[in-house]
Amino acid sequence: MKPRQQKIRKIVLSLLSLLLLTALFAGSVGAAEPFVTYTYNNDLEAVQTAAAYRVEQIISGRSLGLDDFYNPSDLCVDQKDCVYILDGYYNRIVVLNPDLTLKEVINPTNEAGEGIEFRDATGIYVAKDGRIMVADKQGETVYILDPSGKQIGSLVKPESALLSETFIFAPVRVLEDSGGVIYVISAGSYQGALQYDADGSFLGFFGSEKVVVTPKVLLNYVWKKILSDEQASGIENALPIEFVSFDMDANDFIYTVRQGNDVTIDQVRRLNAKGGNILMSGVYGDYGRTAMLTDICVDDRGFFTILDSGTGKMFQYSEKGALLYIFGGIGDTDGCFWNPIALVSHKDKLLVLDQSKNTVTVFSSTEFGANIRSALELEKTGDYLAAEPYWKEVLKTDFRYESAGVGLGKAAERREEFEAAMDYYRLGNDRSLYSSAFGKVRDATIREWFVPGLIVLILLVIVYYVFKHFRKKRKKEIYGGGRKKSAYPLYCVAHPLAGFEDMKNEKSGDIRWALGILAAFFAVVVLATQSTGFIFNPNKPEDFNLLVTALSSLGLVFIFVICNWAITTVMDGKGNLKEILIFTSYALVPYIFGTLFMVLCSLFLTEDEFAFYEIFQTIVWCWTGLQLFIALKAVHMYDMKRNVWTIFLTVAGLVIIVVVCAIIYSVFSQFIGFLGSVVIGELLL
Amino acid sequence: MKICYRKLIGLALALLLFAAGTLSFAVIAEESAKPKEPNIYFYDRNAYAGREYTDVITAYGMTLEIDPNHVAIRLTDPNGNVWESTPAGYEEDTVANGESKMAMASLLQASYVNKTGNLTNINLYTESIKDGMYGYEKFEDGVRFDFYLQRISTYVPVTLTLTSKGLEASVITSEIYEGDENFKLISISLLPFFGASTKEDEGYLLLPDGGGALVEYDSAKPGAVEYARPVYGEEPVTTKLTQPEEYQTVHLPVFGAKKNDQGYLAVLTEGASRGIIHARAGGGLSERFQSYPEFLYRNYDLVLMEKKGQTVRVADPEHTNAEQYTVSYRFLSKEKANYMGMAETYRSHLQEMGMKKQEKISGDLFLSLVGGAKTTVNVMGFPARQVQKFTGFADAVSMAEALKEQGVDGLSLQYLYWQKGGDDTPILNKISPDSVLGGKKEFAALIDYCAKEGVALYPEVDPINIRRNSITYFGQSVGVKNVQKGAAKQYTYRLNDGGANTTLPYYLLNHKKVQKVTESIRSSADSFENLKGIGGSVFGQLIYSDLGNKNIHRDEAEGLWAKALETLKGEGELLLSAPGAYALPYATALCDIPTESSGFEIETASVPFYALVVRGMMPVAGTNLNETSDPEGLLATCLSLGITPKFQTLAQNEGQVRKTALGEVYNGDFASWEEEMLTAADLAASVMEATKDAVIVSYERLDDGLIRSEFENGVVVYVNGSSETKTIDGQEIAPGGLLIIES
Repeated sequence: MKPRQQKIRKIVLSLLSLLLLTALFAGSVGAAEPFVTYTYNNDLEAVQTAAAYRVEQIISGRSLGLDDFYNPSDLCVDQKDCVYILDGYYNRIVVLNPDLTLKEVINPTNEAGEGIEFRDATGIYVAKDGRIMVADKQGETVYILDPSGKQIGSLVKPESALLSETFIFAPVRVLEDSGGVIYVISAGSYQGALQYDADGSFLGFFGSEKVVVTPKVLLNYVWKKILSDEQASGIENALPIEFVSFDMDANDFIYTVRQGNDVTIDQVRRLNAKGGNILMSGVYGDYGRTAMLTDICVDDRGFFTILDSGTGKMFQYSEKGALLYIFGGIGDTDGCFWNPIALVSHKDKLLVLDQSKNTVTVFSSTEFGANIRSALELEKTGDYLAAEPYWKEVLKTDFRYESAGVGLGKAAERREEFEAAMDYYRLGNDRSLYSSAFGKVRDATIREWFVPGLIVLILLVIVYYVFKHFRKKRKKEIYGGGRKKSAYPLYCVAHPLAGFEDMKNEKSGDIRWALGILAAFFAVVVLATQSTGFIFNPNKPEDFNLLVTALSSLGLVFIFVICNWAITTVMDGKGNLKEILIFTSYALVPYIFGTLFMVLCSLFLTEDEFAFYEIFQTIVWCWTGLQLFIALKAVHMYDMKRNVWTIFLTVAGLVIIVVVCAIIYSVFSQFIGFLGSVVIGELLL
Repeated sequence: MKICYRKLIGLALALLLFAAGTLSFAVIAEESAKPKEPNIYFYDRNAYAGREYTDVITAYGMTLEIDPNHVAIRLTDPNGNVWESTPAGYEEDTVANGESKMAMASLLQASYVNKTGNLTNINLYTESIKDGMYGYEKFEDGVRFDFYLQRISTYVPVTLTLTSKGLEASVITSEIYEGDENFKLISISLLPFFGASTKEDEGYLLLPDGGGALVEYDSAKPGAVEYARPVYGEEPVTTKLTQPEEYQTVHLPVFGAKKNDQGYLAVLTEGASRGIIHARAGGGLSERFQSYPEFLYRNYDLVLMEKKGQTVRVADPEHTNAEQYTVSYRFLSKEKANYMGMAETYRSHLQEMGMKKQEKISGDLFLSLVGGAKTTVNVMGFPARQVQKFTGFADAVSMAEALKEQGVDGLSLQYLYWQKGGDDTPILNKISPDSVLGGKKEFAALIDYCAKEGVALYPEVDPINIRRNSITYFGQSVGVKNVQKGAAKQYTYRLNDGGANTTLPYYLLNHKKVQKVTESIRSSADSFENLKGIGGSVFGQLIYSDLGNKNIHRDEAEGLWAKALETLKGEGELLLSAPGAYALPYATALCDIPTESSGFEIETASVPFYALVVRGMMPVAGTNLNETSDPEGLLATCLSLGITPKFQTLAQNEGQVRKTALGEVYNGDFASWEEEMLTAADLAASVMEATKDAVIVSYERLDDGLIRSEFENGVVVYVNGSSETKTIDGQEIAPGGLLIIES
């Protein structure tokens, strides 16, 4: 046999960092994420992002070498990063090492050394000193165990005047703060969590929610005012929706999460020691749908994650309550759930307990997710420059992630690169930050150009007067007495009373001018929706609909004219249809110039100067309204009272016509749709 | 006036007569089209007799023994291994209940819907065998059973044939007779317990879930949720108003089982695209681990009845036109009885089906270029839809040049969204490069550059999805139809609640038109002299029925797609992205080959079965490295399999992507990712150089985080995926390191 010649080559694999390579084989089946990670952008649209977490491992009883879990109900991580899984059906607590291998199985015993049989163990908490607390909902007891599982105490329904007789003590979740105060959530208790001191004596309730005011609640309130006490007793009381789970951060702030059909906002609260909410008010969960939030966890760095058991999704937020990303789902595959009930953060991982699959799914962070959190953590301390490289990495992995744009913008602003900051803020779709950066750029530009600008201005003024001086002489020769037809549109703006009167008397309104003005009016409306500066313009070009814009501007004018004509013909108005159209059009001239000016302003103003913008807008509207009023008065030769009355009737007619049109449109479009489907679907085929 | 009335009455009468005539003619025509009711067979069985294989057929070195009394078979394969259709000792199964035991004694199972749309499963034992309602006859190499399913008065003929390959089981669909209008046969499952194993056996089931997955008997969860996934994905013409779950597609119509020293690979050779692959773990319905195929006889759809607010299952009155549906079992033994042997067997099957080994198979880097997409821009104050350029044709050339300069050889480019209109095009029947991307001239320059520099270029064409109506291709009229004979609407889905964007449906072009469009695309492509390659990925990923007046089912579409692919390929090269098996014979290059599975509860491990089958046959690229949550892991897998790393990339304006409908493109700008591309290409080059066009003969994920793969030419590649340094043959491999041993 020939000696085998081996040619050996060694190559080191090094794509990106190697830190995460361990995740590669660690027990994972090797499946692709069965869900899409997404977030909401500043326009509240759902946008796909790069994956923030990936499925690393599925832990089941079997994978630990034990009997499978059966309806496990809660998870907890202790000070040493050991994970506790409450498997109440088997009266056991499965403890995992920090590397998620099996450490031990604790079978709780009572003081006499007999095994404790839980009736419905739903919550577990491990205190800093290693004491284990288990909430038994049906057993109406919170067991306090030593680290070996031996019972050293318990909490039961307290004797207190604060509790009504019908109060049922059904503990579902429990935790302890650094002062040794124990908080217990009792299912169905709307007063908040029960607080016990270290000796087990009842202190009171903590952090009750407010009543969510729905139309039904309001109606009931009104009824109760009307009805007698006896009758009113039949109406259900408006009670706040209780929170279902909580967690505590490193600073003893308690995060609560609540669910319910009426809860569409403020699902999460961050409570201070007094029970007051210090978290930003807002929607936690998906927009536009009610979440079945079952658990919340806060990591050491203040990022909190909530779990929606209805959709199997997890939503992670910054300490301030800004959404980072959403992932997870319902389904048969790894990474999806049937009935996720509890989650905890474990170092940089998230562990989710599925009560139906009887598994713990371990999600490990991707670099993308880790970068976002690192950057935000640095931003928290105001160190925008240190956060910059992280945001750059984020943008590399996902160039649509808006917070990265904002973060980079802040860094650029810190370096006083305001124009770069503007670009980043625009990428980040943040109008107010963009506006402030823009203001700085503008101010700098003004400073730079002030002196030359002033000189140019003075020169221009001088030139104007010189020019005027020579021109005046000639002008007098050309123009003699009355005004030309073409002078009226502008003349009426400055002198509406005289202008419109003269126009009526001299019949010098020109329909061609009127149509021209209307065309300009339409162009200005379009321009306003499309070209108003980024800061003031919430419209998106792709949402633009030419027909709708035309109908809502020109269409309205025409309907107004027709209505006015119809009404004034029976009310002795002296204007005919053509005249009304002409006068109405002429009255729109201030609107055209005003809007043009505003579009121009929007390119220079910042958000802080929005008040000016609004004031000017009001002036334009009032002026246009006044013009219209005067124009109609002139055209019909009305007195004040009559003019007001006919205008009122015109507006009423306008409203009726618009409503009728809308109805006809909707019926007609259904008919067209039907015709279309019949003709195309049946006849042509 | 009187005359007028008379005329009218006369006209009405004439019309009535005409209508009646037509109707009766139609009825007669219908009657004559129906197959004749077959004779009722009756087998005089002895219900009390024990299991006894009384008949024997021997052919091709195999022995097929039949117990006609219980309708069970026992097969001794050429290796001397024994396989049974009904597990021996099934009566003693400790998990199975009475019904499951009857199912175990059944050669097939069926499902039907009744008039109210309820779907019911029935087993053969109760419906047919118990009362002897079946015919049995032997022929030269096999047997035929004619089953009469009493409850639904339906005849189902089945043959079991020995061939040189192994055992073929077929449902003779053309001879199925449905005797009761109240019941509609939906599907037939064949040999549900053939070769079933128990926990005591050593081995696994192989599932074609994405890249491939195993159900290992010793570690699978007892009673895990059944695996049941349609081959080539869900039928697109069924209505899906909520987003289907993101499971991996079944690309290959196969399943396999390893049972100790013996194994089989089952291939759905006829009617694959109407097949559903099933697998169950022991501990659920029975102690047995089973895998089997189910074939759809007719389509059904869940239709929302708006008046009732209920969803009703509506069965298509038409059934398949196929002659028969067949599953072919190939038997394996000893060292071949594992997933490597199954991959080898399936590879040779595909080669028989026409898959050819290509001359050049290596490739160091594969890029998917995002051309352009429509955005709304502001033109003089008015919004206009315009293509936004992401990768122009000139950009593609400079990218390739930059990579070449850095030493990347073997570059392949797949070009997406390059046709006129970018991502939002009507059906285009010619090569029509978008002008924003550089137009025809620069497109031609790109082609010439690629031809000169040896870069493989595959511009993707899509003659199927009607995303935008045009006069010639108006979606509602030329799109395929659903069960209700309406245009089968396709939807995109909202991310947050998974609901369909019903206001923006798109359609699928009917099969006849597809062939026409394909032909004209081909002739248009021929006008570019140097354009060798073309991408027809959409054909490999989407296969659908047309339930309109001219019923075409997916099994027929397979043949039509084959023809279209043949046309599209012409004399050139054809790239397909993770195609279904029916398209593989036409591919000369592959990309997006999955190496992972969906991770169903039943699965215990994923194996890159697909890649193992095709590696060495043609250039193969993996899925996008910049879109996975685990790029290191994916790269390691690609390298261990000797397949090309792939990135999706774009050259410019990445900030504008958010304004387009390209929801899934969120990274990959060339400037940021060039370094990663170079690293990956460099690593791939060394593996490719050593392994050349060899197929893989052994692939193992060792316990300690190492992947070991051995190629036919003797090269062994180790990839260290653990966090510790490993030592192999005295050579240290650092974490994330790669060791290539050439002998």
